[in-house]
Amino acid sequence: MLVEVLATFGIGAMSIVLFLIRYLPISPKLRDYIVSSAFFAILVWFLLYVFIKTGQAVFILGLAISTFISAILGALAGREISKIARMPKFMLEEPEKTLVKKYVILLATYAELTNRLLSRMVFICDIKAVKKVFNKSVKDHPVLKGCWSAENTIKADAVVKNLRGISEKESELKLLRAFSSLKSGLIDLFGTVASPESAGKIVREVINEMKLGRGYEPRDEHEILLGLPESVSGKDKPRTFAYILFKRVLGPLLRECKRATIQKLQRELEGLAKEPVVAKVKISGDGMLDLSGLYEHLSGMEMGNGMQETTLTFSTTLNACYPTIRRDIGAERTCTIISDAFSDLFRKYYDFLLRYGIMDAIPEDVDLPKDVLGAILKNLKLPEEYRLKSGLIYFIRGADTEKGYKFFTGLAKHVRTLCLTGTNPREVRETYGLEGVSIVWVAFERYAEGETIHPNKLGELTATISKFFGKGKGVVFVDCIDSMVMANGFKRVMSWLKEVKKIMTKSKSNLLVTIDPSSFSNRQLASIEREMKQIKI
Amino acid sequence: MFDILIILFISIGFTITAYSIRNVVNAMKFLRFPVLWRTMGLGFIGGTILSIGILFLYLGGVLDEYGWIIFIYPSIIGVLSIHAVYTLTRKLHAG
Repeated sequence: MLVEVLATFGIGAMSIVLFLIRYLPISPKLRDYIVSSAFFAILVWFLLYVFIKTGQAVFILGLAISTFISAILGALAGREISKIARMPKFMLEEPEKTLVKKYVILLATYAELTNRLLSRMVFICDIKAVKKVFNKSVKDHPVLKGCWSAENTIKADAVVKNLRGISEKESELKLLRAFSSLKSGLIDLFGTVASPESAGKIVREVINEMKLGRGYEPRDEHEILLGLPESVSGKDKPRTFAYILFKRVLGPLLRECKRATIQKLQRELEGLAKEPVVAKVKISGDGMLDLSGLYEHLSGMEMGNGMQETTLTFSTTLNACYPTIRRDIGAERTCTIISDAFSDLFRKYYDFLLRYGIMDAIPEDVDLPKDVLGAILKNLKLPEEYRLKSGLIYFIRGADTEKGYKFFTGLAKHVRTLCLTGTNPREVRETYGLEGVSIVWVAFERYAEGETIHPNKLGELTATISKFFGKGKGVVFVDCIDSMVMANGFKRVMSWLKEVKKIMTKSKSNLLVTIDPSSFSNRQLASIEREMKQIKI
Repeated sequence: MFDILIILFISIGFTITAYSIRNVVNAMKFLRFPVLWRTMGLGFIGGTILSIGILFLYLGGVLDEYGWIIFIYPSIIGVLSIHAVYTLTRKLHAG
C-alpha cells in the first residue's frame, strides 16, 4: 500500500511540474530539453513501480535505458543553461534575458560600450593618459581592479571575479558607479583632446551602433545616458530621467490596478489638463504610460529647465493618481511599491533626486527604509557655509565675479539654482561646470543663442525669477547688477530688488548678487549694505 | 546480459549527469532565481545518486522488497519543484 501511495504522490507531483514548465519564460530549446529529461525521469519512476509489482527484469532494463536518456537530455539542458549564462546580452533572445542576473546584463553592456569607446579613443588620445584615467577609476572603484587587458580593452571576467561575494543588488550599484566614473573620465579626456561636442557625438554614435546592430534594450540605454557627464548628454537627461521616474515608480503601480481604476485615472489626468505639462502624460486602456507628448515637450530644452519640468510633471501626476491607486490596491501595497521604487532610484541617482527635489514628490504616508532616510537627511543638510537665511538678498564683494561664482558653484550642488549672467551662458557653463543650472543671458543685444533679456527689461527679469520660484525653493544668482544699474539707474534697480524680495519671501528662497565696489559710490554701497547681507569669503 | 546492460546504462548516465551538474553549478552565479536552479541541481544530484542506489539494490536482489523507500525522493523533489516554478512565475509577474 505504501509503495502505491508514494509512487502516486511522487509521479503525480513530477507530472504537475512537467505541465508547469511550459509556463516558464525560458528559451524553447532549453524548455524542450528540460521537459524531455523530466519525462524520461518520470518514466524511470514508473518502471521502478512496475518492477516492484511484477519483479520482471525487463522493466529494470527499461528503467536503466530511461535513466540514460534522461541523463543525456539533462546534460544538454545543463549545457544550454551554461551557454545562456555566459552569452553576451545582445546575443540573447527575449525569454532568456529573464534568466540572467541583471548585473551580468549590465556588465556585458557597460564593458561593450567602454570597449567601443576605447577602440575609438586609442587613435586620438595618448594610451598612457587613457590608462591614467582607468587607474584613477580603479582607485575609487576597486571593482574594476585587474580588468585592463593587454589589448587595451576591459575584461568583464575580471570584474565578475571582483564581484564575488557581493550581493546582486550591491553588485549592480557598484557597476553603475564604477563604469559611470570610468566613462566620464574617458569622455572628459576625449573632450579635452578633441572637443566636448565630438565626445558627445561619439558616445551617441556608439549607443546608436549598439542599439541598431545588437537589439539593445532601452532600459539600459537610459541608465547609461544618466551616468554620462552632463556636457555630453545634458539635453537628453530630462527625457531619460522622465522615463526612469515614470516607468519605475508609476509603471509598477499601474500594472497592479484594475481596469476600472485605470479608466478613472485616465479621467483624472484629463481633469488636470489645465497644467499643460501634465496633460502630456497619458495612460492607455491597458495601464501603460505614454510619455511621447512629454518627450516632445522636453526635447531641446536646457537641462536645468527640463529637469524642473520633469520634476513638476512627475510630482503632480503621482500625487493626482496616488489616492485612487491606494483605494484600489490597498495602502500597504501602494506604499511598498513606491518605497521600493524610490529607494532603488535614490541609491542610484541620489544627487539628481536631491538636487531637483524629487523626494518631495513622495506621498506623506510612504515610509522609506532607514538607510535611505539617513542618507537623505545627511545629504539634505547643507554645509555650514551654504546655509542662507530664507527670504534674504545676499551679496558677495569682489572686483570680478570669480569669488561669487566659486560660492555659487558649490551652492548649486545642493539646491535648485538660476543664474542671470552678463556673459555668454555657454562660456559660464564651461568655465564653472554649471551644467545642470538654468542660465539666462542678460545682454544689451539680442543673440540667437539661448534666452536673452535686455538689462532694462526689469519686468521680464521679474517674470523669469517669479516663474523659477513658483516651482519651489531655490537660489537666483545675478552677476550683472552693474550693467542693470547702467541701463536703469541705481534707484530703479534697488526698487526692483525689493520687488524680487517679496516674491522670494513667499517661496523661502534667496537672491545672490556680486557687487564690484569700484562700480558704486560710497552712498550706493551703504544703501546696498542696508538692503542686503554680505557673504564674506 | 541484462545485468551488464543495466550497469552500463546507469553508469554512463551517472557520468553524463555529473557533467550537467557541473555546468549548472558554474552557470548559477550568472543566473537569477536561485530557488529554481537549486531545486534543479538537487533533482539532478539526487536522481543520479538514486539510480546508483537502484542499481545496487537490484544487484543485491532486494529492489522489489525495499524499492518503495526510493519513492520518497520524487515526492519531495516534485513538491519542491512545484514550489520553485510557482515562486518563479510570481516573481516574474511582479518584475
